Amino acid sequence: MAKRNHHFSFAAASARYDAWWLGQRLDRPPVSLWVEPRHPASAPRSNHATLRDRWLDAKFQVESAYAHLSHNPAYGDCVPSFFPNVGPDLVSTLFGAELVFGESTSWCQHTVHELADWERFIATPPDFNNPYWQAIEEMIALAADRFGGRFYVAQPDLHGNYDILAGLRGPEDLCLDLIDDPELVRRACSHASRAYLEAYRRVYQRLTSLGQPCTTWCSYLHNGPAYIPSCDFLCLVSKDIGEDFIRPAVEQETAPMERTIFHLDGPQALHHLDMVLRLPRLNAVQWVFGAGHGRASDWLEVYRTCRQAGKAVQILAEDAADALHVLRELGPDGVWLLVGTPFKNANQATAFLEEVHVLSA
Amino acid sequence: MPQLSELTAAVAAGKRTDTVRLTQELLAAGSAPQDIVEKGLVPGMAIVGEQFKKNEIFVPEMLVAARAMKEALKLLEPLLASAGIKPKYTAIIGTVQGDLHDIGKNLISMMWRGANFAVIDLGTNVSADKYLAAAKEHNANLVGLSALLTTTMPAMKDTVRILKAAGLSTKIMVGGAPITQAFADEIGADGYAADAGTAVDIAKKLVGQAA
Ligand code: B12
Repeated sequence: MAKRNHHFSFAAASARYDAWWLGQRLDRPPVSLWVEPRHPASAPRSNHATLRDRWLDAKFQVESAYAHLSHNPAYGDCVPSFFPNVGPDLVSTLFGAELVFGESTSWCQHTVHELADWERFIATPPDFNNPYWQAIEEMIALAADRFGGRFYVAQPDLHGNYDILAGLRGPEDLCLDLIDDPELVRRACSHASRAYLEAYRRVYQRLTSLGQPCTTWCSYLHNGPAYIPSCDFLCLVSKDIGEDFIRPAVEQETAPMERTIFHLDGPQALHHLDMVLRLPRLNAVQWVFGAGHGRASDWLEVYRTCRQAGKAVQILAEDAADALHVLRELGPDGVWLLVGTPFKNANQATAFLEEVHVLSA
Repeated sequence: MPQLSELTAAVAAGKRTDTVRLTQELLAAGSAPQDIVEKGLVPGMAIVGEQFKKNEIFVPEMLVAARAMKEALKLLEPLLASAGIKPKYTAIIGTVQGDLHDIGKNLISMMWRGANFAVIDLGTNVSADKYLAAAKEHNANLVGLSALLTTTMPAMKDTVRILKAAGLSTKIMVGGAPITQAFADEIGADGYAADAGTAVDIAKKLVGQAA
């Protein structure tokens, strides 16, 4: 038998994701994994005065990614891509929110200070002419040019619906607003979702015009508009609020998508799973159980519920054993395995991929 | 004169206008401020805590209840203070160093206040020294530490170690999404709770009050 090649292949990975989105499998499920680098990459050094300068320095970000990507061969179906990123609150910045940068993330400063401010927000169109959006556009252009087709450029992280509002107002005040004037908040959310869709449209068009595939921080592939609907705010609210407010907003945001994977975050959000599974345009679920809540193998019931509802699942496995256990239990159809702990070397990674092949036969 | 049970129901339902009106009426009719707190408001927050524990209500409903109680306390606190009545127990609370998540911590703080603890909230990103200084200054019965990030769990561990090393009699409670009973035991905390309702039961046990 010819030896299988386990290096990333765009054609093979695309075909696997195509099948996965539809709850099926090709030769095996898509697999995302990493291998510990043998030598540290010679990435450019940051001489930036502030974290903000570093984050917004498009050239630095692209060069760092280039150094990393050229140094670490990609295995399995892990798309070797650069993810232009200023943090998840990008859409909130279109309404004047300033970002505060930490080492590995950013969050935004509130601009909606009282309930009545939502009217002002609703009257404000999104402004794409801001430093954060501009930095993202610059990163996309630079990366596409620098990579010359060797690596890919991904879509940035866009928090949607009530997460946009929570970024502008703070999650606790948003909770109170939802009780004090639900219809006003609903209108605000619809405005936020329109901006989200416009942001998505711009990014999608730009990347497509540069010949880039559709992928993002979650490294799926699809030849057409695909994204990760989400609402971290869900973990704070009742099923009723999920159903009456969040569901319509997510439906609005997924309407133009061909493929979607819902990012469901944390056990406190699990009571919304039914609602999520009833979303008409949903293909898949990324269930994030989070630290302190066991391994993927402890959440088989959730995966089964998703599969029974006809949705594909992404499995966030801790290590190879965890991934293989889930694969044996669920079978290979509609399953995408992500192994969180990097493999020690390429041999271990390829041995794991072989095992996935065998189990999927 | 309204019944204290009406006030309890108003708080539990988060009706702040009713809560304030009933408090005013009870005061006008001669109810003792301490009774209004202990027999009217506190049971309201206890109902909310139970409902939250059972996933019957969620964060918005907790927040409106706490807001209603807070408005009533604005009327009552000056009267309690002038009568020299203070809550029996004092708790310090904060989110550990490096961590900015505070929704869970705020709920615990509200529920402890709702159970008639005096609560000093140190906010987020709190260093071990700051907890220690506050625990000493206020002679706290209880210190609550919250952490939501795996990267700040070590800061929680250090804080517990430093508080314990200072030899205070203060009890330490920990919580937050990635925290488990096993982790709490491992770092030597006195108590752990997975939610704001249980946090009240455990806090009362720890400070020696019948739960
Ligand atoms: C809201 C949120 C935010 C908001 C915080 C707003 C705020 N004012 O708190 C923002 C957007 C600012 C934020 C920022 C970040 N976040 Co955040 N965030 C969340 C989210 C969605 C909800 C957390 C929450 O409030 N839950 C609701 C409350 C009520 O629950 P709780 O905190 O667990 O509290 C309950 C119990 O745990 C317990 N409890 C809590 N504290 C205490 C204390 C004591 C003494 C006791 C007894 C009990 C107790 O009782 C509470 C009530 O029942 C979670 C995901 C999730 N679904 O959990 C991620 C999450 C916690 N965040 C995460 C991350 C990575 C971050 C960031 C680093 C990156 C980012 N951009 O998202 C930054 C970090 C900034 C920093 N340095 O802290 C990760 C943490 C991963 C990990 N395990 O380390 C999570 C799990 C998301 C994820 N899946 O990746 N976040």
